[in-house]
Amino acid sequence: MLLRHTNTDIKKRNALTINPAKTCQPIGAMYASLGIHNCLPHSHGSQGCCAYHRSTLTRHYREPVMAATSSFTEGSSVFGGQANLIQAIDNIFTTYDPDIIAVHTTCLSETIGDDVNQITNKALKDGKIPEGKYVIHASTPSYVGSHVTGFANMTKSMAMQFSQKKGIPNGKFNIVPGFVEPSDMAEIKRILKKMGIAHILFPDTSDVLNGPQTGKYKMFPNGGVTIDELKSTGDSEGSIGLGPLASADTVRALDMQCQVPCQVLDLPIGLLATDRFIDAIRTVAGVQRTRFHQYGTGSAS
Amino acid sequence: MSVKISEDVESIIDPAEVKKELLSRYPAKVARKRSKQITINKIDEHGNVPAMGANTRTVPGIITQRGCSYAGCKGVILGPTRDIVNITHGPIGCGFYTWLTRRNQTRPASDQDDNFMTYCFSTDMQDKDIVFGGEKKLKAAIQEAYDIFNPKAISIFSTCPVGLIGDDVHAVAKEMKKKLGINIFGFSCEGYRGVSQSAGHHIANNGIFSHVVGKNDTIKEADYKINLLGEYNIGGDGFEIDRILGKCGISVVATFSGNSTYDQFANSHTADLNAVMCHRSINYVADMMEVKYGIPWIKINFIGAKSTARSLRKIAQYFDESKLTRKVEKVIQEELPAIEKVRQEVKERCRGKLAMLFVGGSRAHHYQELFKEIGMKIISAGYEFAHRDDYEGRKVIPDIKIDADSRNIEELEIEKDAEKYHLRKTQKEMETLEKQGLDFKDYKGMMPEMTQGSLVIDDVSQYETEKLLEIYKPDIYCAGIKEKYVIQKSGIPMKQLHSYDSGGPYAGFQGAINFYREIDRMINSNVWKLIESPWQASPELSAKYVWE
Repeated sequence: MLLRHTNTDIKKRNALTINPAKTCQPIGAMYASLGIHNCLPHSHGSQGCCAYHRSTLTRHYREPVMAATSSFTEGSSVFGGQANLIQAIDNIFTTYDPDIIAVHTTCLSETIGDDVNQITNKALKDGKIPEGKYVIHASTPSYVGSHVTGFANMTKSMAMQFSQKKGIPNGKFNIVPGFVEPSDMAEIKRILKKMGIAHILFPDTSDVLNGPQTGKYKMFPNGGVTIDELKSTGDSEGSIGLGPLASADTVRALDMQCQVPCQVLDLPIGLLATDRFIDAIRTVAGVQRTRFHQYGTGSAS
Repeated sequence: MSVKISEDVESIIDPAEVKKELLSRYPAKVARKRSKQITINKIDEHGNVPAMGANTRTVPGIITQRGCSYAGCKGVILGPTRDIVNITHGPIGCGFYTWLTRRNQTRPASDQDDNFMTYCFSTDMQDKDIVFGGEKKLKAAIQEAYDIFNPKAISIFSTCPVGLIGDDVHAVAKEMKKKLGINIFGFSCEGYRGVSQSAGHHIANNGIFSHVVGKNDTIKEADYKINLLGEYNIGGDGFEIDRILGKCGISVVATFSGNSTYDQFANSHTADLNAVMCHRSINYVADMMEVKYGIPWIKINFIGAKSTARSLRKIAQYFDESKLTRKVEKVIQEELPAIEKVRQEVKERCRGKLAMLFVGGSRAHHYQELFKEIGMKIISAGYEFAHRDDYEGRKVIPDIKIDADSRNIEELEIEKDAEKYHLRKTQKEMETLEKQGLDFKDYKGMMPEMTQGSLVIDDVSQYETEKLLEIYKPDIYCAGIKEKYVIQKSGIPMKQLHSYDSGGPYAGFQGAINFYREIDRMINSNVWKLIESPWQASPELSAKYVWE
């Protein structure tokens, strides 16, 4: 009864998409932004985009999902969204006090050609970004790619707009987990910890979108990669990107910008892929086999 | 949990202080704007209430509940109609997010009847369509939808970039309508229009009225024919209302738009009365049908047992036939005892508890009835996308200032239909009914029915929500999915009044029972007392090391 109009005849379609298995870039960017500690995602577009993404993520994770919007009207669509974004930045820092705002664009702001880089520079010049606070941005037009592309673009922006090469190795490995669930990110961290590998996992939505019920709501939960960690990604020993679509661009860009050598693997889902991930990380990190060969038997510490 | 008595809260908490506190953190400009949308209710001896700021832009960066025009048009008004193929013209997201995300139920007459509500149709515009235009793709998509599904009608919903690049969806609709011979129509409901989903409701009303209503003149053989306007069959509300109306012998020609079909809309001008449930989303259709076809409209409300009885009596009063009046009274007498039994039982446990409602353009008002019936107190309420008339009553409509955002939404010029217009009641009959207290074309609004000193907040923000929870510690908070877990993580039960969580129906008589029981379960559940673990209450180690 549910899909009763779907019959066994296969008809070729070129224009009409029916029941898509993908959605648009901005929701992926919003999800990635939630993986930064004390970050408020910001949707530069109409109110509806932000409302839809928050609703969809909330239904999926059954967790509060906070994000702000530039609330475009017809006027801002004609004259550009600069005034809206600068006002939004000011209001967000004053009212909600995050450490960072991660702005992603929408089909609306992309089509009218808003230059978010220029707008955030102006906000900085106008003194709308308080000392020690940050605004990063990613270009995520809905008419290119999918939600995974949006996740990849925002993740790349995190690396590009924060990483610095100070030249003092931090002894850590960057792990870009790809578009996976908070529990997956927690599991990757657990494996790395067990292997004794110091790491920066970003974005990291564990303890953000799978938080506890404490009776006290925290707008910015405990989880998420910190700004200091993101800055330090340029001094890491190497990067591993999991999932070519979601993570390859980020680790390659880090290599270009800060000469952090990188590898791209598939997602560690399934025994064989998990083995490949563990083998790759133990090789680059130079971990002795004894440190982890008992992994999974319950006897390793 | 101690039972809070309403007087206590009022004497302890000064609403003026609360308002000050809500505004204190905002930048001056934002505080000035929000101050107009936060009002302490005051009803004077003539029943007048203070002016309420509503239907104005949300300040960028202030986290809002509101959505967009497309959501109001495609998601709310046209979404519940099962046999129209609704194609979203735009990038994939908008179509995806409105795919089965509202709980409006539908019940096709048979297995052979069309039901496209479980499908998502989109043109999935790509960058080359944005650059070179998407009209060709839209035409092809309509053709493919026609070839595969063979529907009665196809509608097209424009998303933001469609308006910006100038695709003419109306011209495409016209051309394809001619080519395929079925009704095809478009909506310019780009997300940036208006200040909330309310703009989309208006656009949908205009479209459905212009392109569908009046297209089928078949006269249904039945007594007491009405249209039910602004009832969306969330959680089966419409089924319960249909049950009651059916029992009374009142016949529904069309529901706008819960459990509806294309043919119902096309035939709706043959009804003799429009009963308006959600005033905000559908009053435009009611007004236009009155002018063009001569159908009077009254405001009714099937949320709450008393309101349901009152609404049935209003409909009977309009038709003014003793057969119907007797039937309605009989049905009310039959239904009420079961409700009264549950109500008394639940009231014992819910009396004096505090509720807050921030939702919709009608629901924050309608649901106050149900809470009041079980002795609860509404300390604060507000709408997400309503206009001043929904707060203060329709009498303020002449005073509402048209601004840049409302001017962009088309107002249709409607004239009497030369052939299809006919008076349902003579001028004299209408006057008599009005004298008897039947108010035509009127909605009194939410504020006159709220208590003095309660806080009325329009377009409540995330920050204000958190503050309200902190100050009032309500026993239950009603809003939508985006607020759901913020409230529950604060240790307060939260009822969604958009989707009803997984519950319902809450309308009508059976719905009232469902709602009393649900609220009783939620606010009197022990689970909220178990959030704090014992070691949080006394973190010091005090255990003894030996058994005694």
